[in-house]
Amino acid sequence: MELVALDDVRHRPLDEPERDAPGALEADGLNRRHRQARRHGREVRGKDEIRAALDHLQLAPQSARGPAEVRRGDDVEHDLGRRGDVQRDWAERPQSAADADVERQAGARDERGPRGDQGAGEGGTERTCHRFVLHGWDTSRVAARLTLPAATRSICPHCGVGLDAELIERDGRVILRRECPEHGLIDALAYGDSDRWREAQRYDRPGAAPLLRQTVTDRGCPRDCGICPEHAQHTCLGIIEVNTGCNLDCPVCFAESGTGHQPDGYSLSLAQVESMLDAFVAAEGQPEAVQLSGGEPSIHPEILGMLAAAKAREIPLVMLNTNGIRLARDARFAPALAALGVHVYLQFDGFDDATHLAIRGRRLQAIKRAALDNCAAAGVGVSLAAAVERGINEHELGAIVRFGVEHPAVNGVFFQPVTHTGRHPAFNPLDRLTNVEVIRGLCAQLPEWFLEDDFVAVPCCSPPCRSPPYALYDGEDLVPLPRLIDVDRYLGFVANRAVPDLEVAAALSGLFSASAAGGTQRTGDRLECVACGVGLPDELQQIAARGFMVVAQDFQDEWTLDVGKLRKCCVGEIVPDGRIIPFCAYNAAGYRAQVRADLAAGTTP
Amino acid sequence: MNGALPDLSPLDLETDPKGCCARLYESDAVRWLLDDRLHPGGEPLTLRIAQLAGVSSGARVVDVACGSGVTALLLARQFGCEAVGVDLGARAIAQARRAAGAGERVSFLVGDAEALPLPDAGFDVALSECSLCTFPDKPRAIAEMARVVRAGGSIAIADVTADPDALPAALRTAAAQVACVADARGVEEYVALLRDAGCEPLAIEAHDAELRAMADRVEARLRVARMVAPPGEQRERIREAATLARMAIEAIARGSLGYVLITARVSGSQPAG
Repeated sequence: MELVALDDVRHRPLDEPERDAPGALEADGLNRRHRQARRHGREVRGKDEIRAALDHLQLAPQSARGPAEVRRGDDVEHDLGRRGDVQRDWAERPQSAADADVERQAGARDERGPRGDQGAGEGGTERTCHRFVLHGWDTSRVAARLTLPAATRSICPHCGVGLDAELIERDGRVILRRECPEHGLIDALAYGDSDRWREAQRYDRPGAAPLLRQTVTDRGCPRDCGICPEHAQHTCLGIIEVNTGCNLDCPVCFAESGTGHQPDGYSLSLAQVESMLDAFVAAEGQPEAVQLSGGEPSIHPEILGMLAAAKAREIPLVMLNTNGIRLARDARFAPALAALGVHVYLQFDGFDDATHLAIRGRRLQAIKRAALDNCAAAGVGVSLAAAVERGINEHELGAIVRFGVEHPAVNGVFFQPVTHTGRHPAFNPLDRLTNVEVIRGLCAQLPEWFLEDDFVAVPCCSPPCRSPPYALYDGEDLVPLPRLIDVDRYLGFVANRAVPDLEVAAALSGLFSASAAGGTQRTGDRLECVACGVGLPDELQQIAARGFMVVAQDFQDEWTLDVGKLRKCCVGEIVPDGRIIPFCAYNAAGYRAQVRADLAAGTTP
Repeated sequence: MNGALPDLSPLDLETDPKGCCARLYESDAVRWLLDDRLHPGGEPLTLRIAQLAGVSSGARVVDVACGSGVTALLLARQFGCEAVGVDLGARAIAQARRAAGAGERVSFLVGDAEALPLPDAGFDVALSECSLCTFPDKPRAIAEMARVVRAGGSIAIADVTADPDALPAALRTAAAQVACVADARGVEEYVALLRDAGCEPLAIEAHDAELRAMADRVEARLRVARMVAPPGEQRERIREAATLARMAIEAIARGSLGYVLITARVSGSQPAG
């Protein structure tokens, strides 16, 4: 593998900090962001300003929960991140005729057969709910942070230099603090409630290692991406951005896509995407989920072929991340996605004109509605993805979930606090939204459905990143799964208590993974296993197949980049040279700009 | 407990509220709704009140309205005390006797809390866990507990507290009575009842969050039951029950419903032990 970005590796001892050694990457990618930060951000430069800013902040209410009961090294550790069940799921997956059709339409290409050698040793398929298997795990690799302050590393949002950093507790919140020699003390809100943060750390687990290390440790995290020797987690979800062009010019776009001329824009070829998928397979063995994104991937002329190429590699969950314009306008598109078995990840930020104008620059309500109705008619499952920003659409969280529950195509909602990278509105780094604020907002707006405790931190990546509750729903009502079963106990988070049922635990851990989506066959199977294993009535098992997923997912930007979290990141951007770069590093540490520049210069295969 | 949804038909509450309550807590439906956690706070709160009441190795403890004996067995095993359980439900007592292993220092009797089939002053501690509020004659029940405890021993009450004037009418019905709500009293009233029986309060601990967690659990299970119940009378009944549960949750949030642990010393000259 040719790793262009590593050509200028510096020779220095591994343990030497890279504190004042910004390389070509920083020089390229970060000067531009420096200007942006000045343009967009209310800059926070010195201690005095920080104190002043904090004076207006309200104290976050204290959690009613008691102290964490579990301690690292308790006797109930299991590898919840491993993927032992995947092979069995695959063994049951017939190749559908529809898939084959679309593959033919997409053109006769490199017909690689299913990788029949893999999983052959795993034994036969059982047709019971006992399909989910946990593997033992290595507790020696635990790097949990259970207390504050916690040491980590970050970067300067202004110049990109790597810095030692600290997570500190202040006014009941978690602040990421570092000091740049040039730009002074830099604080940003990392998590909105320190008690909740500590509690989320309980859910931390040592990662499941990827099969392949793609780079060597040289300059230190986050300057050695692809999957480097220090990365502690395999990639649950791979993202491929197939283009930079878009049919919208949103004021909020971390990818800086758009309709206008993009001097460094690109559009990948089908062959490139295929080789990237192959690299993903090489790194993962059996990838769980891939998402084609952009730009706006639906305007790529070869998008169906690319999706088919992902399906041909037997990746169980293939998603298309789209704004829905083509789904609304091209009546053939949703049926084509249905034929491929593609799940749609639909940008959906709310209902108010003001929301649409602020985030998308256009009123798109009718388009979103038409896109969803076309998906429902074609039988395409949809997750709604809402970019949530302070003061813009915080008040629409409940309405989005309620709409999703009632719409037949929708089986999940992902709330993503706006990542302040690329294009974004002015913001205050100490008053940004984190998962805590999103979850509290949702609970306040839908108290009949949600409690804060329903949101369980995902063990497979860094717990404060993602908090999904699964819910059972029937179009009228919704009941979060953690209300029905003792998730803590099943996932092994209760001290000195055995996990009651390992198969249920494995199924649950699969549900609480970044590679899961509501409404899919795998999710249905897992929910059914859980419902059966914990003694919910038989009748529920049909409903369980329609599990609804609500996820709060806080991606990092230059302000919030925390190497401790990054090392556990399980969402990976697959780039044309085959590296898998943790999504937040791709956005925040200059890799996006680097990849675009390489593609524009034609230096990437 | 995997299988079909239990029959959630209501029992006849009006004619025999006391007996009905005992029977209801024996039913599969209620056990399913409560996920086998029959009182707020579960084991940790049981152990807490036992600790507050000074239960120790060698003590003699009576659990009034013991149900299937879970608490009596827990205390005997955890503290090495001797435990006697009394309950009005014959089925529950039979179940409790089956649950007790050979050689355990537990015994179970069918009996009425308002007329305990036990001698005077034979116990160090009398415990009423989430049951006093369901007894129609509370002064009598407390007097009975005081009678069977030796002077200097203690009475331990874990129960729902309510500000009856602040509760919606629907929560004061017979149906709500078995859910420990309709006839629950305020803390002051429980304390006054204890004083009237000649007992001096020792400790009072509020645990409203545990009650809330239990109500949340029950409400969630009722709503799931509603999803899977066939359309018709049963589904509507479940829907009503879920509405009641939601009212209870709101009352807890307002502070009109809560859960408290109270211990009191039975009058007499010698201190415990």
